[in-house]
Amino acid sequence: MKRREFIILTGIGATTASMLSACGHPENKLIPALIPDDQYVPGLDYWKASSCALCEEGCGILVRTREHKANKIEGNLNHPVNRGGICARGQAGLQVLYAPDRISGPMKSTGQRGSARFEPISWDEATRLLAGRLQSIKEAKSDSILFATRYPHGVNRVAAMLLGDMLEGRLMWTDSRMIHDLGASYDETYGAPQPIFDIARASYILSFGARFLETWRSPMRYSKAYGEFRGSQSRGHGKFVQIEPRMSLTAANADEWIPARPGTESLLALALGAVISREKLVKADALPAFLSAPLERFAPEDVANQIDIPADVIIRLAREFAGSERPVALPGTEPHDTSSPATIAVKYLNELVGNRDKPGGVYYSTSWINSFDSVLHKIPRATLAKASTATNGLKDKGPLSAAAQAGRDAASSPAAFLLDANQVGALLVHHVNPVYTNPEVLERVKATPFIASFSCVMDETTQLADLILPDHTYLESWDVKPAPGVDPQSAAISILQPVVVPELDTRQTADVLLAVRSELGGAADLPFDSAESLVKHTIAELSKSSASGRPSTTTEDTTDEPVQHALERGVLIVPAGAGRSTEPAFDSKSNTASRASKIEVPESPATTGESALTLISYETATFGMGGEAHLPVLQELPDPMTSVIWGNWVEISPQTAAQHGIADGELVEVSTEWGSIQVPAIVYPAIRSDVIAMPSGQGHTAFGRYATGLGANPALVQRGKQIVEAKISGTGKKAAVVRMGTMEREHPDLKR
Amino acid sequence: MPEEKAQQKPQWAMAIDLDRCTGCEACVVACGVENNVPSVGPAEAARGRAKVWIRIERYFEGEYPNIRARFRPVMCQHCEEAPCETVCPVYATYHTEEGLNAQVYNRCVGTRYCANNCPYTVRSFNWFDASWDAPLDKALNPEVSVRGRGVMEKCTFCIQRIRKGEDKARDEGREVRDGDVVPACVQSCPATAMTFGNIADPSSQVAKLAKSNRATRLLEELGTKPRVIYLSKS
Amino acid sequence: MQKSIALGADHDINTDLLRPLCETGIGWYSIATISGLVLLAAVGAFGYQLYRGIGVWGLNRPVMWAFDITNFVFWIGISHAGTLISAILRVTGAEWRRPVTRCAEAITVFALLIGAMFPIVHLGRPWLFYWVAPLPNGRGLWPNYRSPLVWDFFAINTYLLGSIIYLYIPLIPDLALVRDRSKGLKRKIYGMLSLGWWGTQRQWQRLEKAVQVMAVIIIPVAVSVHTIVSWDFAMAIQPMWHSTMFGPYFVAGAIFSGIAALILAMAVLRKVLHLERYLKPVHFNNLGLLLLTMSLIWFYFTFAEYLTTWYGNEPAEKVIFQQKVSGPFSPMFWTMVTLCFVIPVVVLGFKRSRTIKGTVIASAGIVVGMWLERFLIIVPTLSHPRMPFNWGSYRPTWVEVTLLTGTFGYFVLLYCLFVKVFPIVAVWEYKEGLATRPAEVKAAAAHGD
Ligand SMILES: Nc1nc2c(c(=O)[nH]1)N[C@H]1C(S)=C(S)[C@@H](COP(=O)(O)OP(=O)(O)OC[C@H]3O[C@@H](n4cnc5c(=O)[nH]c(N)nc54)[C@H](O)[C@@H]3O)O[C@H]1N2
Ligand SMILES: Nc1nc2c(c(=O)[nH]1)N[C@H]1C(S)=C(S)[C@@H](COP(=O)(O)OP(=O)(O)OC[C@H]3O[C@@H](n4cnc5c(=O)[nH]c(N)nc54)[C@H](O)[C@@H]3O)O[C@H]1N2
Ligand code: SF4
Ligand code: SF4
Ligand code: SF4
Ligand code: SF4
Ligand code: SF4
Ligand SMILES: [Mo]
Repeated sequence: MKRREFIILTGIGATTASMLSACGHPENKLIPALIPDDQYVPGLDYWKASSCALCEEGCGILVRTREHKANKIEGNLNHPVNRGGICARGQAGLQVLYAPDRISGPMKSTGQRGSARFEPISWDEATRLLAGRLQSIKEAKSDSILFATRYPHGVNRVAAMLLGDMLEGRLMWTDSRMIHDLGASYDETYGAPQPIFDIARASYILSFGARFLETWRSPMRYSKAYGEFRGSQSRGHGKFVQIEPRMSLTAANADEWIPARPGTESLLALALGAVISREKLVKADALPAFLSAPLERFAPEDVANQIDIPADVIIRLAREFAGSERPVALPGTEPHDTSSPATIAVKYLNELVGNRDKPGGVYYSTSWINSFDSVLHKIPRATLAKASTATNGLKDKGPLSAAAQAGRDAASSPAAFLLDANQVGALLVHHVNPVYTNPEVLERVKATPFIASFSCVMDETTQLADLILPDHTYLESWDVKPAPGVDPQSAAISILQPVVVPELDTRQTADVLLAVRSELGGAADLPFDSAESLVKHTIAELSKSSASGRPSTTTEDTTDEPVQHALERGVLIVPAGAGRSTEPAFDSKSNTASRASKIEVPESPATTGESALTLISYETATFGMGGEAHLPVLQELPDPMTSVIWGNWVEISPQTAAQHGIADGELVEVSTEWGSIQVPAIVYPAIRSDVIAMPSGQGHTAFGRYATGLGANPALVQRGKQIVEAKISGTGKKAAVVRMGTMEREHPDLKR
Repeated sequence: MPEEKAQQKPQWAMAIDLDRCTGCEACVVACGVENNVPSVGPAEAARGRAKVWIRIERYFEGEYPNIRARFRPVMCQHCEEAPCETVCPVYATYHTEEGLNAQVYNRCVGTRYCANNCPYTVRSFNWFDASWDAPLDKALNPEVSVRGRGVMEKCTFCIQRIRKGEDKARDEGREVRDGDVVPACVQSCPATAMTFGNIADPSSQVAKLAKSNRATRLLEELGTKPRVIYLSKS
Repeated sequence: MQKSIALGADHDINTDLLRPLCETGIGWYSIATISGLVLLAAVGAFGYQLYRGIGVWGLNRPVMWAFDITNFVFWIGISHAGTLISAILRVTGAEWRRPVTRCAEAITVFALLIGAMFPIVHLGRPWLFYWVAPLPNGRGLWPNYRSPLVWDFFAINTYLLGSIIYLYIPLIPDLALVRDRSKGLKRKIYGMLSLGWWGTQRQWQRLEKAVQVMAVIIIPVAVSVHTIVSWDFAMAIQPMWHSTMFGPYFVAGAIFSGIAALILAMAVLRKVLHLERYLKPVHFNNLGLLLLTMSLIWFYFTFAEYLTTWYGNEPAEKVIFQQKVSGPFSPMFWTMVTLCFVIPVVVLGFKRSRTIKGTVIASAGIVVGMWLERFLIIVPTLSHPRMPFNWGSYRPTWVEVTLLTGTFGYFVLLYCLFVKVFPIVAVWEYKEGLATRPAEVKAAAAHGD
């Protein structure tokens, strides 16, 4: 691939003063895409606007480059999501680009599956091989093809869908992240309005395990808002309460931490509701009639034991919450369960205090997904429709039926799909690593006749691939990403554009898929032929409907002013789709309302056995599920609570540690019904004694030189669940756990 | 007090609002990337050699379930009466006219005395030559030198950014003002907990925060007169 | 000065004391070889350190000094053996000192050479050590005179120079003696070294005068050196370093360890060079008494230091106090107390046990204990800085252990070479003693054995 091909955008547009102020120097230029060599001035900083793709938030970033090398990523002040902020992981993005263990070009397997022997091939050959394989599956008319990706939106997915069109609907796609769509769990319908929790203006934040400062929905957006919540003069006696079995970083920032028994959030929310209703803490007319009756079952006196929080604390919380001027309750993850009763109960609580569409309350932004999809997919839509008809037609026909049911509509994760589908003829993995995140799929993956991986790094799943077609990193790619819930009236579309020429002989997956499509005889009737033109086309389309009413010319003219303007800013703000969704989120007719009274009262897990503990795994703000564990700068960043670096651990309360004779830093064995792993124990003073917790993201068996062989993977003993029953026992061996700070107290108690 | 003296040169200072700081450590990575602070790897880190110019200190208070955790970002406090400066035998660390505790890598012979006399333990030593596995070195900031082995290093208040901000103000023929200089850590902070500026300019944000009744300085009793102001939890 | 002793005795003494210069026994060879090898290992370790970087040591953040500065303070302490003791004994006219002084003065020079190496060896960039010196240079860069390390530089250099002179001046008559008894090139060299000494009255007078003046000068220099070394810590604001009494405390400790080292050296020399006739139990007894005194003084200082820390209850200091007294450093701490106080007091407190063997045992313990004392001053303070989040620990590597062992090898080797080239007992001083106060000397000689 010739480098010249990437030097596309030549225009150096007008720069806005506010953007320049972020860079601080007159000779710095904020420039979209790449600058041709003949205009490049050595020694100058060129700042390029793009977006971060290391989590689903899609923060706006400015990348400082010099001599064609990127040397700093900063938050984009003009991006409505992060407003200049940028998280630790986003800062480490340069190491994604310059990771020493990136796959340098296309390869095909030369040995047995799993032997990890590959030989380099050309892109032409790689494309032909993939096309040939897909063609033969299409002709055999039996198997399905699974395209498993990380994010549900963007050009790679569009390309996959267009390719699917060529394959007569045999291509299913699923993503690992969209299943956590809060809109879905909050309202039980996919594509429902996205709730936005206005914590900046709230006077009381009651969070049911929502780690909004680290992970959850949108860490930068909520961190900025949290800063405002703390900094605001008007918040009066503003208070933040976190309900969570272990103290996360978010809980550490709370004014009060309530370590309720895991799994009892719905119960607690309803008990709060019961107090609010029986003490008439809200205006009677604000209390929907149907709520009062069933609530009596959840009187704090009756359920306090189960929640393991004293009744008077529950009553106090209810009074504080309802008595506060602008209260808001945040639903946490009952992880990976889209129809979580806790989420519904929390919504119930919000409705009870009537904070919908009020400052400091819950807003519903019209589904940015809808607005995005409708515009972005305007052109492909016709072909997509064909694809879904084809799929539907296959629903009750042989092996494909299960696959189709387990597909996108069922909001299935790649792992769930793999486990449910009878047979997958070809697995295309893009930016997901199911063998690592869900080890239970290993046998199914191994049994798949053909695996192609688009990974940038040799990971556990890619090792099993027959064909590797390495993707660009996000700093070399073109893409658009809808940014979740910016404000009720508008949606932000984050724009990704290359900030440097590709480091290696990689190719953006969308371009590869489009090439495969052509290879399979796809008509050249699309208004775009590459990821780049697709992005520009999308921006142009979205700009047309933009409230700012920028004059836009024709669809085909992709270098027009709005596109240029958007590329310079790295973000496009569009009004919320076809009008705000006013669907009442919670009225007596909606099915959630009727369900509220039917919320299952959870069994308390601790009653099951004497030595049984609940094992919780959580995603860290730095590596999440492990996709960024190959970045040394993040490995050496101490965990904010335990200070551990270069490895992971299991948190255990001092009481439980003493009971099991486990010392801090000892290697322990954590076992569940699915097996056991060995991991260092950290005696953690802020965790329930019936809970042990492990961060996910480590324990890679193949993921570059920095991550491989470090720590243990909790997924091995969890079978895709985040909460399981477990046992723990000491091994007597000292573990090699590295900490950057002590757990010592500030004022050690010394007797005189 | 510096803010009372009408000084020609700007006097740089930082205010950190502990009420806002979440302990997220974005600033730690931002600083490392901007200032070419290397990762040393697990073996060296296990020996206590991990390098940081800014760290988030976390302290637990109380007992379960009424336990609390507190976070405090700590970088070089740029003490006006810096104990590290007097002990350096070769003037490799000294005070600038802008109130910065400067570190001259080329002059440092590596006695480590300064680090031993810094009450805040913010100095990092280069036990070995820093290295980056290729091509990670491409991400190095060309405006910050990569320190060789045997020298001391620490937060510089992002001196390279201060210079740029001052140049810009001079080019525009004016005094520096808020926003001209934004150190990397301040830029990144998702909770907007940090404020940087010229404390000698009474209209600057940092000067105002320094007068807040929540303003404290770390280990104030030692008389080091830090230029980092912590706004205590309210 | 008239020498009025029997020619035969004179000849005997000369032969006895100059024998090591002419004859070389198996003992000398084995000691020299072993110590040479130990030194070689240390040189190798240092080479490795230069090649790889000082990271091959166990230092870390927050413990940025440990073995290096411990060795530095320790050896500078040992150096007080010598000059200071010999000077005090000379100035106070203690007659029994005569066979002891040179032995002590040599210790000083060697220990200083070794101790002074460490501020260089411990640098991150040792090749730039001369930047601490005020050398005129094109950039007009000067050292920072406010830094105790620069004070160290001057103090140690002054002391080293003074000690060499103080060792050398009384050596002159003995060098002349050797010159007279040798031929050829050797004669030429000793001739040059003896600076034309012919033993004239004027020369004797000047020598006596010079020795006296140097003895007076060297005492304050020695006291100041260890005071300044102590200020490396006391001038810092770190807990349990910032102490006003570190000056006298360190000087007392230095003399204490110095005497112990002297006793050990004497005992070895006595055995290896067969100097039983000259280094007699009376010397060990007297030095043992001195050692006992120093042990009590040392204990007094230590007790005062720790009591005030404990009673003051200042949190940062209290942490370090606890680390030493009952924390992870407590085994070392209580070993130190045992070696520096309990054993010396018991062994040296009774005349019956204040024998050669007894003093040697006590001294060996004291040397170890005083090394530990320095280590315990440096490491617990550094490993427990004021901000508890940064508390750390320290573990030495083989490089540091090799370097420490190497210093002993170096010391022994220097001593071996010294006794091969110079008479280790000042021949003229000894004879002078016999001549001026024969009765007293005889009495002293009769005392033990
Ligand atoms: N025990 C346990 N299991 C869990 C979870 C848990 O918390 N506990 N979490 C679950 C959840 S919530 C999720 S979302 C899933 C996450 O499942 P995944 O999304 O599969 O997790 P990641 O580890 O992020 O996988 C990302 C992979 O993409 C590859 N990659 C990295 N950069 C790029 C790039 O630029 N382009 C391309 N094409 N590929 C790239 C890397 O090789 C990496 O292995 O895991 C689930 N499994
Ligand atoms: N920076 C960053 N942001 C991310 C991600 C990332 O990797 N990095 N990943 C994204 C993805 S894919 C996902 S799935 C989300 C995951 O982010 P979250 O939805 O925040 O889920 P986890 O990180 O797994 O954290 C679960 C937390 O809930 C607590 N918990 C566990 N069980 C219970 C319970 O029964 N009750 C209560 N109250 N609390 C409980 C645990 O203590 C744990 O702290 O984050 C998304 N956002
Ligand atoms: S929150 Fe997500 S998108 Fe934003 S900077 Fe961090 S990793 Fe990137
Ligand atoms: S914080 Fe430490 S390094 Fe910084 S100026 Fe103060 S004493 Fe010196
Ligand atoms: S380490 Fe460098 S800066 Fe610090 S005191 Fe020594 S020479 Fe000075
Ligand atoms: S001011 Fe600059 S050097 Fe100092 S901690 Fe912040 S980013 Fe690092
Ligand atoms: S980035 Fe801001 S909020 Fe995060 S740890 Fe640093 S100062 Fe605190
Ligand atoms: Mo997820």
